[in-house]
Amino acid sequence: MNLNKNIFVPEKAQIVEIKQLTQLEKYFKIKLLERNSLNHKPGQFVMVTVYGVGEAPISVSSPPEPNSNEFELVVRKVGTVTYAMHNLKIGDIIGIRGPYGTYFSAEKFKSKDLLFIAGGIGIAPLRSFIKEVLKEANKYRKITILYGAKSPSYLLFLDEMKKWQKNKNVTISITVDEPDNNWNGNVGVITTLIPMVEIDSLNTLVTIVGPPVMYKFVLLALMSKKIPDENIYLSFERKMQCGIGKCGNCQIQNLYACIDGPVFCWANIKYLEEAL
Amino acid sequence: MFLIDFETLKNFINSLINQYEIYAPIKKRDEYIFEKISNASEVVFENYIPTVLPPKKFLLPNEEKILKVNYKTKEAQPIFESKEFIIFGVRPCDLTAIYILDQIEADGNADPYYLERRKNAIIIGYDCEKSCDENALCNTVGSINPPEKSYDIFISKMNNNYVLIASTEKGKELVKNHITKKKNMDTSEIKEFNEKRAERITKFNQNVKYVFQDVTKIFEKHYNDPYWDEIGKKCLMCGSCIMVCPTCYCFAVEHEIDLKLENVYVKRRWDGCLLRDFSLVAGGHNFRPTASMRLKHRWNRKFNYLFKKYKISNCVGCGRCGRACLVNINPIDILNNIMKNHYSEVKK
Repeated sequence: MNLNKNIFVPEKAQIVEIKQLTQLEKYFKIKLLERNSLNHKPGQFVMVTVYGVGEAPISVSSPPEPNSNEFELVVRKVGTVTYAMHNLKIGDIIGIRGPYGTYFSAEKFKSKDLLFIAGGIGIAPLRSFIKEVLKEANKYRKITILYGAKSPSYLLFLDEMKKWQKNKNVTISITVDEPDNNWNGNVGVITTLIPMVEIDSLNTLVTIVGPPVMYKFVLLALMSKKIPDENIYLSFERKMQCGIGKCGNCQIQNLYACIDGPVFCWANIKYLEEAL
Repeated sequence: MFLIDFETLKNFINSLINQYEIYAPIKKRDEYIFEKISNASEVVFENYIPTVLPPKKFLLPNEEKILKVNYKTKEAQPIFESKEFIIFGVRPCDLTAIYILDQIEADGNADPYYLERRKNAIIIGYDCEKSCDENALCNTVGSINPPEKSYDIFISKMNNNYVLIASTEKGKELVKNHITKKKNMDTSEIKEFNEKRAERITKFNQNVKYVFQDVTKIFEKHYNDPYWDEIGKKCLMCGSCIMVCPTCYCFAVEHEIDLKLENVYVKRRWDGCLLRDFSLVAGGHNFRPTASMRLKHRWNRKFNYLFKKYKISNCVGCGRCGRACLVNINPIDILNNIMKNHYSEVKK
């Protein structure tokens, strides 16, 4: 990367594939035009510019691919920039800055257990980490994925999950808050899945990504399972205008979600009242 | 160190005007503002309360275009328009604020726009002889003696004459090239100056009753002091305090397309934690919804988080927020009330 480059200048990238995943979410495959690889790590985000509209932080949804200039974003249509993104077409140019922020790592949990907990669109950043881990699934003992969404129509990546489950040590449980007539699976909030999982509390890395309200209840459920705070990692959503620790919008007391996060170890932030 | 008289000081300013854009405090209606001057006679030197906006506005403008993007090709060009300029008459509080911004903006991912303007800014400080009014708490937070790195020249009044200290090469050049009638101060004059300057401390407010350095400890330990809820009930969340603050530096970013659809301008403008949109995300969740949470955050930035990180109070005691506040919330009351509640415990 050119160190003299102005840190506010986005690099040009092209949309090469779009899929409508749900009513609210679209999948974008992005091709970098100025670099050979995004060189990101799971859990990191990019600042996406829709020219003339604005810039927003979006977590990368694909695992690291050092030999590819393509990466994937899953974008929920919810604010000004994301609405505009949903109107873009294949071939359109967007701006990218990043990758920024802290990341997930399962390095210290080889031959131990991994527990992923995703709520709603939280599956998008978690997918990056899950797919990275599944590149060497046999190096871990047990991999459990708990995934909750509002209703069956909002569930993402079900096809991929079927493939993930082909690994013998992978178990996936899904729940919805509001079932439809065709739904045969679990019903209820994501915390209802936690008691059903057998957790080796001292040998499990727990990674949680979801909406603010979910964290509180999931963390309470995990504490009752006696999982040490040091083994719990979460990713936080905050408003960001710069992504590089200057604009101040993403502050969580003395920390910045953009440079100290978005991935935090629960042990380091549990004393911060603004965290949850 | 040089000694000059008032006529020479005015001639110095007029001589600088011939060569530079120079901004200085002037009177506008009943208030004072930093404005471009064309004659030294416009400048107010003494007996005025701090300008409505601090000189920060020249280094971090309220609104600035940072990128110009060709809408067709999406090619982005950074916009740097700054050229060398002078800010004259910067008070110790505002000098201290500039020193703080210098640390913050250069830290981590350095802000190229601030640094460019700062590089082009020649700063001539002007000393205070006493507190400007009852809102000032410069003496409490320790900003009556500004850090040397914050100015190029610093001017203090002594016995109807003026003492000039040029602390940078730029400052020394200006003194050399623009002041002919000056006297090198001898040892006894320097001694007298230092004594007088030390004595003047008695003319500054002692409005906080506790040892200020204990504030970080108290703010950290008593994050949920009930005083925040008390003033939270009064606060209108109007953001006046953040708009006039010399050390607030948070911003929002916007895109603006010109009418011909040729260029997109990426602009940033002041924003801050007292305002609703600052911590509001697109889904509608506001991470800091109440006035009490926002006040608590703002003052923890000044007296706790950034104080600890940069080892200097990020409130410089100018008193602007207290003067601007529509409901009389001010840092002096905040310090006195919160420290009062927990002070005995700190001293144990």
